[in-house]
Amino acid sequence: MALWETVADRAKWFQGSLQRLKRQVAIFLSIMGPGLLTATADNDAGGIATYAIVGAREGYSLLWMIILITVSLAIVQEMGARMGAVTGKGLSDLIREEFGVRWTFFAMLVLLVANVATCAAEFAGIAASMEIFGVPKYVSVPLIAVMLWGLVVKGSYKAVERFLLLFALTFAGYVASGFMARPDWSEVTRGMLVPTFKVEPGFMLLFIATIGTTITPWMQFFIQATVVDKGITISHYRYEKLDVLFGAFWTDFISFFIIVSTGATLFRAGIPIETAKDAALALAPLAGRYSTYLFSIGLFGASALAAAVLPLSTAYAVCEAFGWESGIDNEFREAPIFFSLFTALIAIGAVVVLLPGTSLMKVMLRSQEVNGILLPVILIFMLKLVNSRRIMGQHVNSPFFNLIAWITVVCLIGLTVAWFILSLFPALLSN
Amino acid sequence: MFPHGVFLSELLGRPVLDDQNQRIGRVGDIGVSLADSFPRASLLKIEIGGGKTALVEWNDILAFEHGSFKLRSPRVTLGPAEPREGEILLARDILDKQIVDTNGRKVVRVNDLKLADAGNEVRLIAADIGAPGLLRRLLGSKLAAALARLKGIRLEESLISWNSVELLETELAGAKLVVSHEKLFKLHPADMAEIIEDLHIKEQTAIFHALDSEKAAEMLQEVEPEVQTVILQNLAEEKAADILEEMDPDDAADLLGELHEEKAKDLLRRMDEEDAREVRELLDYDEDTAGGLMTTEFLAFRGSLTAEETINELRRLSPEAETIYYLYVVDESETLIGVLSLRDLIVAAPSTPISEIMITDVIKVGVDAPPEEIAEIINKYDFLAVPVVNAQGRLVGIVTVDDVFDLVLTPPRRRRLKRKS
Repeated sequence: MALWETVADRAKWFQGSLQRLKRQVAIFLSIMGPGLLTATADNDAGGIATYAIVGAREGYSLLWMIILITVSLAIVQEMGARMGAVTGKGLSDLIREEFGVRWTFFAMLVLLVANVATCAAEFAGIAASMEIFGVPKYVSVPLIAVMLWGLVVKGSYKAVERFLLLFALTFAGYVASGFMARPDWSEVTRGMLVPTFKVEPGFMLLFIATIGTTITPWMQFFIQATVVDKGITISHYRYEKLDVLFGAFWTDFISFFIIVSTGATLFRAGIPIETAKDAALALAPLAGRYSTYLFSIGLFGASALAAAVLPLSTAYAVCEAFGWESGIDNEFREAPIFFSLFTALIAIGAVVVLLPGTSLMKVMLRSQEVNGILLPVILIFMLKLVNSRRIMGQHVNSPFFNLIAWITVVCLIGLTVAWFILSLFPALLSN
Repeated sequence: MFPHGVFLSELLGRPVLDDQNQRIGRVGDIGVSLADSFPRASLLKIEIGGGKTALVEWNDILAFEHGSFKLRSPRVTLGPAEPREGEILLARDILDKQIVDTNGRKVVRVNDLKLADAGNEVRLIAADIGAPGLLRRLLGSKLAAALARLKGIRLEESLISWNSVELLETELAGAKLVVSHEKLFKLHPADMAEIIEDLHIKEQTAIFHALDSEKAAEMLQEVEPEVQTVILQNLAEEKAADILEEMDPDDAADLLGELHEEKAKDLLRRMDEEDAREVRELLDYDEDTAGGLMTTEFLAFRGSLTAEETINELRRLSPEAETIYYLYVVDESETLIGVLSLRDLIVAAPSTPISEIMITDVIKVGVDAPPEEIAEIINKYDFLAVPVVNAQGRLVGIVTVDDVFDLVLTPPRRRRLKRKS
């Protein structure tokens, strides 16, 4: 009898915990999203180009950096998501409310410059992917720009977003390609564990671009806004935290394999990346002669998705900070600044790419350098906010998080200053 | 002191002198008492330097001369600058924050604040939400004025009179503000809903908790579906269930259908049994059918009742039903046998049984009827509502014109994603 009771109790307990687990999984799935979406959007045109160039130019020797950047990406994204969950406000709102008009103006200027550059990179990605299919950029860029603008303004772009996300998932192909290229795994491991660094401007700029493409200013605004939009509050936050951490891991899992596969193919063969077609070669072990098509489909999805989301989120951030009417449900005359900003970002991004003689790969890489140089400004704002007890209460940053975030800030500023000095006075190097 | 009015931005940072004209520090903030509809300036916060601050009573200010505040007394008490209950600090608690302009019915951000003399007091009279305020803050008042002259820019001043400003609850302020929301609550639910949509979750939740369930339900029905779910998820379950009870069953079912199954079940359990039952029934129907669109709140009577009895019954029930213009007539098995309008009922002789004045050829739809069919019928016959019957001919609900209207006006309406059966 006693035994029977225990068995019954056990069964009941088991059933109970199964129920609890089911419930938790359900909550997790309903919250899941901001982190993963941000992660996928992170591997946009600029990201793909930068990682591919890193692998092709430096082989596996910068892989150690990806490991460190992943930690710092996860921590920085988590900070933004946490601020959204605790305050229910976007990053630009918080900057305005805590630092006033002048600092907000400065922060928004930084965001705008970084995002105009990124937007140009997205259109460069669109142009590059279409060129592989033989469509010249003078046709593809204006056409897609108008199409994306229309889709977003008409408000029916949710489905398109999912479609493009699906495209962007093609980049998981790099994981397979990374294995099939049969890289020397001991070399890869050494690249991961042994830090190498070169004191030369080109290398430093590539370093800045790699950080700048992984941890971008706009992503910080985006992830916080998405958390707020989803109505995630601190009581459900632990699920969101998982989502953010998984997202950061996923982003860099892909970047890692882009570097490995370009390292194993292009670096080994001594092919520098000049065009998107070169970058596509790294997929050859997986897709053979179709690799360029696979690459361009993915690049198109990633670029088009970001080219739609980025101007939109920028316009929201700026308008919320200054209290201007925003939202695509409005008519143009109801929210003129919102629509002007959104339109201007797309237009400028597209025009930069259309200028004759622009190298598409260069636009993609340069924009990430700009992002890397400007990132510390946004990170400092975030750090000040996330450490304010008045705003965050008990959810202020832990010392470890502060340390990692500050190291990121100091490294970026240090690198930027060093790069600046070295480029101005190249003579310093010869000594 | 300020006969022509002055902006807060022009006062912050101004020198503060003691009675001997010695400089004590500079203006850090200005405290006002919220008791009046135009808050009275009651405190001056002085930044002494070295991170020290002092608070002086507004009465201790002798004058504002040559751009400086002159104090009556030599002594200032150093201490943490916390305003008293019912008081707030303008720069810390209002400047740069969001407020509701109940006149323009929108959420705006405060760029500057205007103070002016009223009798021998200084009062907060308006919030500046326009571009000139922004420029003044960004460049300083002189530079902004010079720029405006130079370029001949005519930037429209936009000041909101303080008596139409509603503050929002904010936990960011050191002491939690006690906000009445009175001005906000006087607006039409549809206007309030539009304002609510522009707010942050925390403020949305605070407002819903402050409202009584009936008004909250009225307002929630006006809010966009996506925002509805977010709000409902963040409300305390008890409050959420109360609000759902007050909503029209079809709207409540729509909303619950959008929520996660577990959450929806929890809320249904907390609801009043009768209300929950009605909502559960509606949840069983497929979203794109008459069953999914209909409400179960309708008026049905037996045919044997006289016109007078029916009117008395209506008075007794004082029905909450969405529409009372159509009265349906059913038999013992609740089969729909006729319909009459409120007008027919009122003009009929009091002793006539309603079965004699009702129309027996009732135009109705089945629970599985698609929305297009319902819209067509409502449009063709100029109905305000159409009755819905199940396979046995029993009257189970009505679809009102506004539900069909919603469907036509908002084409890709993201309704009930995950219907549970």
